[in-house]
Amino acid sequence: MSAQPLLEAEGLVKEYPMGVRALDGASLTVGRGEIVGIMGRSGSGKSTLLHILGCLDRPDAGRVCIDGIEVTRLPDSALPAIRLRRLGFVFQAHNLVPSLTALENVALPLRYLRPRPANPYAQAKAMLEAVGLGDRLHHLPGQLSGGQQQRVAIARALVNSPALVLADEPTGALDSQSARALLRLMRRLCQERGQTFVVVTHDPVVGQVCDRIYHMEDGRVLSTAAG
Amino acid sequence: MEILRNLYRRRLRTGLTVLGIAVGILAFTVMGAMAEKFNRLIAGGEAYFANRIAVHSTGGALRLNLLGPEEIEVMKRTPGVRHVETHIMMALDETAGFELAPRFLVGIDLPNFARAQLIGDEAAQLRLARGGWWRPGERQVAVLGSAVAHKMKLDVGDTLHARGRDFRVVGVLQETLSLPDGWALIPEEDAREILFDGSALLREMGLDGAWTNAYALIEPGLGEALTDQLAHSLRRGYLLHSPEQLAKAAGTASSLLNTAILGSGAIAVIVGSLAVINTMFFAVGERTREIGIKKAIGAGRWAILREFLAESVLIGLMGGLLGLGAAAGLIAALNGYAAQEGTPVFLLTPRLAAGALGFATLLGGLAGAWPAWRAANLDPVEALRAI
Ligand SMILES: Nc1ncnc2c1ncn2[C@@H]1O[C@H](COP(=O)(O)OP(=O)(O)OP(=O)(O)O)[C@@H](O)[C@H]1O
Ligand SMILES: [Mg+2]
Repeated sequence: MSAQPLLEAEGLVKEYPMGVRALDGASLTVGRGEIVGIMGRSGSGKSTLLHILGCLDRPDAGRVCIDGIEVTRLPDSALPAIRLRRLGFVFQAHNLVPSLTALENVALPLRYLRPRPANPYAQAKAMLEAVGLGDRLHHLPGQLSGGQQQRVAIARALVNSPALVLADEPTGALDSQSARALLRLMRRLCQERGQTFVVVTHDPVVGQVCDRIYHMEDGRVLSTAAG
Repeated sequence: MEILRNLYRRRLRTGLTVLGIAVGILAFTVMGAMAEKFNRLIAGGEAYFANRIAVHSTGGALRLNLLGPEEIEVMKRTPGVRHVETHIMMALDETAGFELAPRFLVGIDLPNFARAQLIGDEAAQLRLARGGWWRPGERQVAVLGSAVAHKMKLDVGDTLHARGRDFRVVGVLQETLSLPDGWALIPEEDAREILFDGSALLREMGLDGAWTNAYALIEPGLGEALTDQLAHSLRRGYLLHSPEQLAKAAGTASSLLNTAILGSGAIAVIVGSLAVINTMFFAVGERTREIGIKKAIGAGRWAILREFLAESVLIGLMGGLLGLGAAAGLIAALNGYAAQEGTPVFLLTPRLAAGALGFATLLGGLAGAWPAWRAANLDPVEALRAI
């Protein structure tokens, strides 16, 4: 395996119309297989950073490299394919498509792949079993608890084996016990599958499972500390 | 599957939108079925009048302007005229008021009629459904058009009472969906007697040849020229129609009807597509978060566009099916009622049905295109901010 980090961001600047500098020269590096936390006060620019790292948004300045690809130089039309093949997302809540069952939600990224994988539902089922929801395959999101919904979201983020999983407060809507369980699950999957996680969080409990923590303040990444 | 579930989740709204399209398609189909019926009538008339110059007497009640043997002879001798078909035509029931499909007694001479049938357009040939023609010299017999038979509930062997006389029904014609459906064909001599009954003067004149209508069957392409020529060589007081004039009249009628269809189609477009646009914008607004998630997962613009487009196309298709079904039912009911009057007024042809369905589906797609385009172009970060 090369020494090249999986994720490299340098000098990211993002300014919003009303003159808010959400990012002001943020930089960070994440190695392969790491679990990295990003913490900081509300409004410090964590979500903005995550959206840019996830190719959902573009910075006004700076560059992002994922897996050796400088994604900030790609045209808009190339970004969905990057998100589809190399990235997985977990958001705070309401991650799931309400009209699809757990199984269909997990199979969704596979349905967007071209060429289509041979057996998307078998893959999705295996993934749901891996997050301990083998008995909830055909439940709609509305019929699952918040923690179960988040586990489905994690299964979906992992189903197409992305190099990098980005999570924005994945435990934000959960009680501390469920949050801990979810984190242990993420930790285990990450180790088993050699995947890389970047987790934005307020939650000090989350911080405990991370390899390293970045702290953000006013759009800058301040420090890195062992978790 | 997902599409159906999304539609089902919002079944009231979906239902109302589908209903909106269905009403438009219902109007479109019923109007179209009426036009199809008239188009068929007109097409039948065109076939019948192709290469035919019609000459009518205009004598009014006194019948002084009947066509006599000399006139027929003049027509026959005109170069380009192959045959002259002669009719004695009168209302079957003088006492009947306005009839949707008027019925006529038509007196014919069998050999004369048969020759005209042979020469004339094949599409306008009359065929027997039941029974046969009368034998030469037979009197007080009739062959009925399908609408006459149906309306008067007569069949072979029954007796037709018309204008104070009785006719034994010997044959019933196949349906043509055009004028002859309203005819009762009888021997020329019988018709002439009825004609002369009303006028002692005519009877005194003792004409052995007198007709109300004559048709010159001509060589193709000579219509206008021969009509002019006949108008000069015949005495005044006859009404002549060239094939072109008849075709033009028919064309005017059918273009009027087609405008009516287009009009009702336009209403269907406006009503239906507004409902679809509204519903789909609502759906896009409601599912903004979902669109954001799908984009984050890696759905391209085309994938999102297709999902919403498929939904609106399905709404259009369902509306089309419902509207078509309702129209078919309504047309069957109205035709059942009109059949008592002799002839159905609506004709739901396969091409009309296919057209209505295709139209509804296209409408759904076109109306859904705008909201779907909006959905496909949503900014993912903005979309994810929605709850
Ligand atoms: N679309 C926008 N338009 C204008 N300003 C914005 C927009 N999005 C974010 N901001 C501003 O950018 C700054 C950073 O926002 P961001 O959402 O990245 O913060 P955060 O660290 O994720 O906060 P939290 O922990 O509360 O989620 C905030 O001051 C916010 O007001
Ligand atoms: Mg945030």
